Amino acid sequence: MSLIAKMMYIQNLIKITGFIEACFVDKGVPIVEIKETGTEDNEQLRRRKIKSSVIYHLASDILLCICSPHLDIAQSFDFTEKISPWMKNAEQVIILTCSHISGYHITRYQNDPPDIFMKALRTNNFIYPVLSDRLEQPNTVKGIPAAVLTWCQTFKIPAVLYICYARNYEVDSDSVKLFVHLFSKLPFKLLKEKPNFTNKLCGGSEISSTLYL
Amino acid sequence: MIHLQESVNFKGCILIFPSVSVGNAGQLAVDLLITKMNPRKIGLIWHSAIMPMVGGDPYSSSETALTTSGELFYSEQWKMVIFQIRSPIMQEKSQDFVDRLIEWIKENSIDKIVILTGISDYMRNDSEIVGPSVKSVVSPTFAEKCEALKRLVENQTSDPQTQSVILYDASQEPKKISMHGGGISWKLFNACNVGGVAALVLMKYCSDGDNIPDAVKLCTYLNTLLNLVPFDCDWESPPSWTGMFGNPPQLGLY
Repeated sequence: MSLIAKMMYIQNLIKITGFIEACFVDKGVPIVEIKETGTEDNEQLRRRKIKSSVIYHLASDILLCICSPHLDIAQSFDFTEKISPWMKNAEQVIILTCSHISGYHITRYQNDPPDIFMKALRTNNFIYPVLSDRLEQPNTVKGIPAAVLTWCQTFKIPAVLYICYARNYEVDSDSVKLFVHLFSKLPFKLLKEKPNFTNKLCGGSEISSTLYL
Repeated sequence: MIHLQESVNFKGCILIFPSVSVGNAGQLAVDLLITKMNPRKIGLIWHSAIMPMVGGDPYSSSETALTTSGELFYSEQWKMVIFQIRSPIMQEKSQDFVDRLIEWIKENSIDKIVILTGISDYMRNDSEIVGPSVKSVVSPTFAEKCEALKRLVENQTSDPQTQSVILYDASQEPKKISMHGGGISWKLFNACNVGGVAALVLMKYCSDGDNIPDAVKLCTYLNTLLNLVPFDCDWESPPSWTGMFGNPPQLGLY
């Protein structure tokens, strides 16, 4: 398959991923399934309900990669190497990730930050508009999003990383507003015409409350 | 592994390498060196041993340049290549990283390497506690090229516990110099010795906490050996060190 211009999306936090996947993103055709490296076979992975990462081909030369929530930070390099063939010829790569607001560092006295906000980092050769403020020092991003952005910087592929800081671990219509706004600004269709809130959310590590039975 | 963004002739250069170690002393010292000497960024490191991390420019609050977890800087003035590593090195992949680094050093005819590291101060015995807080382990090939080191070796005591400079080469009985908490310092120094690369490890006894004074001491000691900047200079900290010990309190508290 030869594509003139490609873009890729990589999503990370299970709750946001699940919500976005089920309710907003029109996923297209899956073309690649990326499994974890290990000694377990498919049946063992299926029994442990390990979800693989998948690359989808959307309309008009766009690839969408949805990362498995079960990937460990130690697998970041290997995972990035596995998806690098698809990134090599990309016109640009867009990376989406989330973090809890407790991980956001400030360096001067200021009022409480909003409940949800977005910041961005980009490679030096990213010439397209960046749709949120720069992530300022001393804040950093780790894991697979960082590995992908590092790979793009190293091999000179234009890329931008958007990180959404949220106060809640649970996702609701308010917390995905920023992503909806971001998706609507991109120059191609990614959102469903009418979000489907009845779809079952993808499984993953649940943060369960111990306050109530 | 090392991806250069421009062509540089490294022949005869000295390489500064921070080991990810106790107190991050080596990495903090490199931050001070880079802030003071202002070398230009010339390359990135892409290797499975280095955990990935990205952020804004740590040396300028206004620049938009991206920083990654492994970077190279070069100073033409001091003929110096400086590595900066900003995240942990995975032990199981560190030997491959060290081997490739030695290969790169030899391919580019780099003259010598200085490894900056912190080591655990709680491992000192009584005589080491009263001895110098910065110790160095040096290969004979490095010592020959550094007059300041030669003087230190000549003037120091004969008691190995209180010596500040330990001469060690691959032909000696293989014994491991204690670099507890020093990350890959020993592995890299040993590989340099075996590979015929002149090497020096500068070790600062420290523990985790406010390690800025430890970094300053490492830089001062390095400056004594290499004569980089005026002896009484102030080592300025980079903007990324702001907020090192957590966020200021929220205004809503008052």
